[in-house]
Parts: sequence; structure tokens; C-alpha cells
Amino acid sequence: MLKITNLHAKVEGNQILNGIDLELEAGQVHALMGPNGSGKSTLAQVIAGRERFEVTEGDITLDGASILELAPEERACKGLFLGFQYPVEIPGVTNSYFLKAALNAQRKNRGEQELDAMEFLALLKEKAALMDMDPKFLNRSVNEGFSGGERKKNEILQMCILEPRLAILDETDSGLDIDALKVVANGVNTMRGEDRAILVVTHYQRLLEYIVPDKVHVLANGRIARTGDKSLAITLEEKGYGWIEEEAGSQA
Amino acid sequence: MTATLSPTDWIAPWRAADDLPGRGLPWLDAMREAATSRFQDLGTPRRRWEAWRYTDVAPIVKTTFEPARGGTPARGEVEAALARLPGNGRFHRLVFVDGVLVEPLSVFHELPEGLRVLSFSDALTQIPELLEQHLGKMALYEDNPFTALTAAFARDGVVVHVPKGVVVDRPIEAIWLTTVGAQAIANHARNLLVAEESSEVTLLDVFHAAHNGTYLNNITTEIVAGPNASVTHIRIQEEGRSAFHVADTKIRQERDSRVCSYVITTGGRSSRNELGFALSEPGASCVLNGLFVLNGNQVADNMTLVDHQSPHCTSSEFYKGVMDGQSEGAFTGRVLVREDAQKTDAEQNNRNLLLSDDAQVNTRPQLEIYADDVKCAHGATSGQLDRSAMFYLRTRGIDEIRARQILTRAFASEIIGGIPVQEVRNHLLPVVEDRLCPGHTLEKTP
Repeated sequence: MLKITNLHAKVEGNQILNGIDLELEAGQVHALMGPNGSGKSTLAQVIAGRERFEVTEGDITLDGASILELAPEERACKGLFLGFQYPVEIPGVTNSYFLKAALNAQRKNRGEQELDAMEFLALLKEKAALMDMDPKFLNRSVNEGFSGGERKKNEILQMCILEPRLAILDETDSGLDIDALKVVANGVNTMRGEDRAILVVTHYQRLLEYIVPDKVHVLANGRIARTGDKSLAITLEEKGYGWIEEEAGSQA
Repeated sequence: MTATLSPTDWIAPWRAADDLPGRGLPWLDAMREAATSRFQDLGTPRRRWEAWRYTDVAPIVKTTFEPARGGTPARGEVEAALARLPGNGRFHRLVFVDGVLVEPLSVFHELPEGLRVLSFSDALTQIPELLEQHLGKMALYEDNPFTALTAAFARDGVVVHVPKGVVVDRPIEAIWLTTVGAQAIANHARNLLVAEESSEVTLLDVFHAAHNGTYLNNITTEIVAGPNASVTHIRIQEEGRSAFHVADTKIRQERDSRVCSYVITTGGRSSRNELGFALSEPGASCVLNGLFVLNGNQVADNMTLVDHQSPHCTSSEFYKGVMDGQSEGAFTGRVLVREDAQKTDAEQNNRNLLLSDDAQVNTRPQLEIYADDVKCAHGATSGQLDRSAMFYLRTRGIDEIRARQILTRAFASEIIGGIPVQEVRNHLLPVVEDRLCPGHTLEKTP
């Protein structure tokens, strides 16, 4: 479904990604791990189409077609979802308005019937209950005054409503206590399915106890330094990232 | 359009008029004469005058105007406009067409006992003593040529007198419609609202034109809030795209009174809103909220002053501007805390959103504090739409135009949402959206 080939990207003159190769098939969950500054968030944002990152080499394809020239909203309408590491506050726009606008924009783009207010509300309530979210958050401004945990739950709620085919979750587990982590992991696990691929970007191995990945990639210095199964995450937990960075450094 | 006329020539059509109301009232004749002569001394404002630096006054003074003398427009034209304005059916409504009250179009529901709601010309006949007592006492014409013009040549306006303890439950709405004519007209009008002790009233001034001709509305409004009175004044300026609008609103507050002012500007080619509060006795509090939404070549200048003259008064000011195209907005917020005004609590905030590279805004917070035990806060920001928020919306599938609209509406709705009259909020949101993105009104927020 997602294929990244020799991807190089820079921001404001700094080269951050130095030739990423990564392939993710439908039905799979991959974890992308790596130390701070290794380029994990940059990769997530480049896939979603953030304009400030400039792709200098390589390609990203979705179902075989390059998405590099597509606007972020066009990528979203093709089924891509990015869960933000730092979800943005939008004062004056309620969560439910925002979600309805997003869902109907995507449905319209795909030639599907838009949901009316009643249908949408029913869907929203069902998914909010799954995420253990107080319905009052639905009528508050997007992420405004939300705690860290509420923001991350809100990201997963959006994913559950939009039902993307490819979800990239950027450090959705960072800063969560164990209860919130379980709710988030449960939300992700209910989304697992044979038509869907999920890339979980994380700094901590703990999340992977709840979301068991099919593959683990380790990013260092803007490259995939290692790929393995879930045991790689356990090795990282024991030995830290130092040895991977050293390896990557000696190869460079 | 012609070259700039001399002040004397510019006002010649008014000086020749012998049909102004209230002729023969000695105090009024004296005021008119003094104001006329003051205008001739001052001349029309120049941009080099500090108080007029951001008002686009040149095109106004280059235009030759005829006095507005009222109009009898096609009934359908007026009715269509009136139906679109807030308060249709519920508010007490005075409709002024080309500067003069049209009684058949006006609506008065049952008025509380003692409440007077009159046109300026009727008030001069029926309650001249109220006008003599208050007119020109708050809005001084000595330094403001346009205020001198309303002092000298006002033909009409709205006069409201709310007696002690009377609560007016329906808003009073003055609608100012301008119809298209062969000649550009100028309307110099004078409003007066006197709210006696412990009374409550809401006054709306709505300026509207269904055409894009050139005209000038020059409106001076004076408000006195007596002890413990509560007054809400809402100005909605939706003039036509070639119109000029100059407003001078001055408010005096007595002990423990509360006054909230909302100034919404979406119309006009060039407009100026001057607003001044005098908190003259202890315990008075005021709110000044404003929103200006401009595009094309519009210029709008907001000049506000809060004069804290007494202890234990509070003022809260929040103005927002949205500028697109080549428009120019300005906000000046002067807060003066006099030596005696201890325990003053004053806050001011101005936030501006620039939607294009060519739009401009000038913001000038001016705090002058002479008392030492006070709380004063101010902030001013100007910027573009938040890029992170734009990206966030777009990653959810919302296209760029719609994302801009959603964020801009959210920015503007903070001011509109604070207006305490639902009909006004419902009216303003689509008007503002249409100005932001013509023809693309968003669906209503749930």
C-alpha cells in the first residue's frame, strides 16, 4: 500500500531524511522507532504533505501512484491519516463541527453521500464512547484546553471517524499515563484490519506491549538502520539506541 | 468628484438650507452658529492631524455632496433590505431613509411607561429641554470637524429617554438606509440616548445600502448612563462599497453604570469609528468590543478612548480586524487613567489577521497612567493564519479555501459570539462570511 523509496528531505537547508526505504502492506502494523532527532516526525509529516519540508530525492507511492505532488487534503481523501504528535488547538471551531466538515469533505471527494447532522451525531457518539471521551469535548473548541491525554484520544477519535486506509500515528503514546495508553491502544487495535495499514511512530517500547507490530523499523540519522520483528523493540528497550546510532554512524 | 473645495464652499448647500428642525430655539441656534464657524476655522481634517492619520479622509472631502433630505424609495427595495436586517418583527424599529425618519416603515411595540423613542426632529418639538441639557456635552465639536457638522446641520437622528427604573425588554433599532440618487448625499445626524438611574436599554444602529453609490453618513451619538444604569449599544456598519461613514460616539457613565459597546464594520469604502468613554463616577464599568472585516480597497479606522476619571472603574476592550485584498485597517486604543482613578482595572486587546500580502493594519495601544494603584493590561498582535492549524485541517481532508474560511470565521466569531442579542449574532455571521469569501457561506455551526 505505502512504498517509500530512497526518500531524501530537508527543512530550511538542513538535510533530515537521507534515503528512507520502507514498505507497508495492507493488513499490517509497523512500528517506527528511533532516538530523538532521528527524523521520525519529519518522515510522518512528509508523508502527510507538510509544505515546509522539501523532498529532494526519492518517492512516496500509495497504491503504486506517487503522492508527492498531492496537497495534504488530496492525500487525506485517498485514505491517508496523520495522528499528530502535538495536536493543534483551533479556538472557535468545535470538535464536532471540525470532524463533520472533514468527514463530509472526504465523502464528497469520493463521491459518497454526505452525512446529515443526525447521522453524524450518532456516529460521533458511538466512537467517542469507544474512546472513553466525555461528550462535552465534542462541543468544545478543537484541542483547546484539552490535557495531553485528551488531545491524543482526540486524534484516535478522528481516525476512528475518518476510517483511513493508511494511518500514521506520530508519537501518539508520548506523555500518556497507562490508563490513557490502554484506551488509545484499544482504539488503534479496533482499527486493525486486512484493508488497513498502520504505521506507529514511537519513542517508547511500552506502546508495543499493547499494539503488537508485524515489523519494527529503527530510524537513525535519517535512514532506516534496522528492520526486524517485535523482538527488535525488546532489544532496544534493553540496550538503548546507542548501538544503533553507532552502527549507522560507522556505515555512513 | 471635483478638486477639494474650501470648507465654506463644501458646506454651502447646508448653510443655504432654511428647513432644519428646531429653528428658533435660542440654545440650538447659538450652537449651530458656533459649530458652523468652528468648522470653517478647522477646515476638513488632514492626514497629518494625529487623530486622523489612518482615516482615509481625502476622497470624502473631494466629493461634492448635497444634503440628505429623506427619500421615498420603491417599497419593494426597502422591504427587501429590512427583511434581511436583525430584529425583524421583535425590535422597536425606526427606519431612516436618506437621513430622515419614515414613520410608516417604523415599528413601535407597546413601550414601557415613560419611555420616549423619537426622531431628533420630533424630540426638538416634544422634549427640547432634554436635548438642551445633553446635546453637545459629550461629543465636543471643537476639535472634530465632522462632529461640528452634525452640531451645525443635523436634520434627524434617534433620541431615546429611558426614565428611572425602566427596563426596555426589546432592543431599539435604528436602521439607516441610503437609496441611490443622481447626486451624492451627505447625512449629518445626531443621536442621543439618556438612560436614567437603574434603567436598562439596548440600542442598535444599523447602516445599510443596497447599492454601490457614493454617499456619506456622518453620525454623532451621545449616551449618558445614569447611576446603576445598564446600556448596550451595537453599531453594525454595512454601508455600500463606495460609501463613506464617519462616526463619533461619546458616552458618559455615572456611578455604578454598565455600558457595553459593540462596533462591527464590514461596509464602506472609507470609514472611521471614533468611540469615547468617560467613566466619570466610581464603580462604572464598560466593555468595548469591535470587529472590522475588510477586503478590496476598504479603509477603516477605529479610534477608541477610555477615560478613567474616577476610582474603582473597570474597562475591557477587545477589537479584532480581518484584512484581505489591499484593505487597510487601523486601531488606536487610548486608555487614560487619571490621578484620582485609583483601583482602576483596565484591559485592552487588539488582534489582527492579514489574509493577503497587500493588506495592512496599524495598531496603536496608548496607555497613559497617572494613578499608582491600578491594574492595566494590553496586548496587540497582527499576523496571518496559523500555518500549523491550516496543515492540521488539510490533513483531515478539508481543502485549502475551506480551511481558510473555517479559521477566519473562528477568528471573527469570538467577537460576534459575545454580542448579547441573538438576532444580531445570527445576522452577522453570514454577512461576515460573505465579506470573507463572497458566495461561499459556510453551513451553520451546530
